[in-house]
Amino acid sequence: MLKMNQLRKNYPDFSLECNMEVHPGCITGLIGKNGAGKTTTFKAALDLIHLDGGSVEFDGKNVKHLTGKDKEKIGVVLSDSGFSGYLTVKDIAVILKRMYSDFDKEKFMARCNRQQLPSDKKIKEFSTGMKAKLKILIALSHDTRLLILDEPTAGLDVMAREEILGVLREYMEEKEDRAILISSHIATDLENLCDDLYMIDNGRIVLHEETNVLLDEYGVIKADDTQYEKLDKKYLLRRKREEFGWRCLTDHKCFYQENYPGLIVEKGSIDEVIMMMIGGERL
Amino acid sequence: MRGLMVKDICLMKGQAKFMLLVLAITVFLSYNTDGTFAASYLVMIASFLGISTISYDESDNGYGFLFCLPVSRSQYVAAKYLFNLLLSVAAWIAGIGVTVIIWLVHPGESGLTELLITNLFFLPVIFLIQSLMQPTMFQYGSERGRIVLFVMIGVIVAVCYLVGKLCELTGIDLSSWMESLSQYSVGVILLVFILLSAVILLISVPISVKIIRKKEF
Amino acid sequence: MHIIINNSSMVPIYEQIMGQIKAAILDGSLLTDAMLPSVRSLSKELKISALTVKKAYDNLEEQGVVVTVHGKGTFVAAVGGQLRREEETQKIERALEQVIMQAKGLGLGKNELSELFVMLLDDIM
Repeated sequence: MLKMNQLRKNYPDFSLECNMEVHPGCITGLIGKNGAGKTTTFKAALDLIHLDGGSVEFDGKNVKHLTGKDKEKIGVVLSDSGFSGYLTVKDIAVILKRMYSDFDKEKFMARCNRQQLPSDKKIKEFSTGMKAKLKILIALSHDTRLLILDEPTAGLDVMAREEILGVLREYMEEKEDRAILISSHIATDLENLCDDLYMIDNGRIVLHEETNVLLDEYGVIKADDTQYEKLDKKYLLRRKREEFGWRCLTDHKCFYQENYPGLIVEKGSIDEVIMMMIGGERL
Repeated sequence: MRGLMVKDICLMKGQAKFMLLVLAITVFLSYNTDGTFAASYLVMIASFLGISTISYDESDNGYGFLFCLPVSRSQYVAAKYLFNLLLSVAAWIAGIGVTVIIWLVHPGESGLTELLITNLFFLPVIFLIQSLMQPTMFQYGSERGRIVLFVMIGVIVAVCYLVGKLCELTGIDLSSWMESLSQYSVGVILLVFILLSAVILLISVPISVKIIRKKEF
Repeated sequence: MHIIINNSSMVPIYEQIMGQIKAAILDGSLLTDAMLPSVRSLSKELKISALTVKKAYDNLEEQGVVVTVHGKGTFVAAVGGQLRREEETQKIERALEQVIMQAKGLGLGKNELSELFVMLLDDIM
């Protein structure tokens, strides 16, 4: 549904180069540290910046040529941008009614009420959590086919985050061919929600894998020097020197479990995989 | 585009008290001044209010989200022009209203028709202000734009002064040229001004669109 | 039927799902033609990726345990009986293995054991 072909964007001290695809029916996650290029990727997808190379397509159409009707099908949450803080929820409802043909005002106000968002207060006076919830409610207030969410759960406590993830799962359940592109720092959120993950570092995609493969087949090996010498390095992706010897990342943990009884092979959590892919030595 | 205008109206709501205050001051001040004060003052205030909608849009990186909404760059520009024009014209009409009411209560030296015609000349001025202000604001943002605008006005005034001085030096007689113009009826002159300024306004629109299109958010 | 996932287990999640669905069919809590929850709703319930659930369902379909009807859903195939039969056959196999080991231990030869078995078969069946 969303395709980034050979995207290139150059800044004076940073450059982005990536290929990414979000398929209908999928929740795709983008994970990386601050400054890795997540927000730049999103801005490219939303035609907010000019590209130095490549293109982004939404349903086969270049995003530079999307009409108003096309844009109505995309719901967006940006981490550092939103409606003016001087507006109230009531104002926003009135504005959205004029912008989206299928905006349901009663439903929107009801949902805001349920989330305890005051309707007459200026949103600059909202707490971080309230602002985040409002942004998501706005993105979900009209019928969309794609959600592009940049750090939608930032600033939310665990309960609120779970609620948002639940809302996103319901969103996907309602229509089979919807899709979500979501970025986050919080790996556990992505682990439980996303179907596939892109890891970005320094403007490049370092890993793209289905979540279930990451959780089932990736593993972290902890070996002392002797054990490490004997290891077949074929399926090792990264290694990192530790006090005890070597920490290694593999994408075939069963191979090592079967052939090296006694070797410590742990399930790879997303956080660990990121740390190893980015911080570990390539093999 | 309607959504954008609704947004600007909602943002203006907060300024309602300020606008009433300005109206009161205008009524008070225009009591003893000439018949053009009310309209010119109100139009000037309206221009500043118009600029403030751009600074609202800019604040907190607002533009990023704004262009994720189903609006195109050109719709944004059109909405801004429309909103500013409507605001200025409304202020102008209010100014004329104040002038007329004061004249009815406290007639001055000039006749009503004369007063009205002088005020009509503000319409082309509105158009010219907008055609200068909008592209400048879009290009430089509201903070720097204000400064650039003042500098531009300063330059225009200086140029007019210089042209006047030049005419004096080279012996070109401006005043007699102006007198020769007065053979045309006021209506014709007014019409010419309105048309010219409208054309300039229309030319500034694609310039503004181009400026906004080039920007990155 | 409620599926519970053990996140810390080394068994891949899709295998856990497959195992639990098969167990439910075996013990009768999932009957033939029963509709399994949709991929999205099960992934929501278990809080896992939809592709994982899909992998489980696809594998079950490959094994003939379920059938997916496009646009309608995924249904338990008429294998309840078959699965039970497989399980019971395996039990018999294990029992027979035990008997053979016992006979071997006693010193009974292959032919003697065979004759004994055929005689008993003729009597009972």
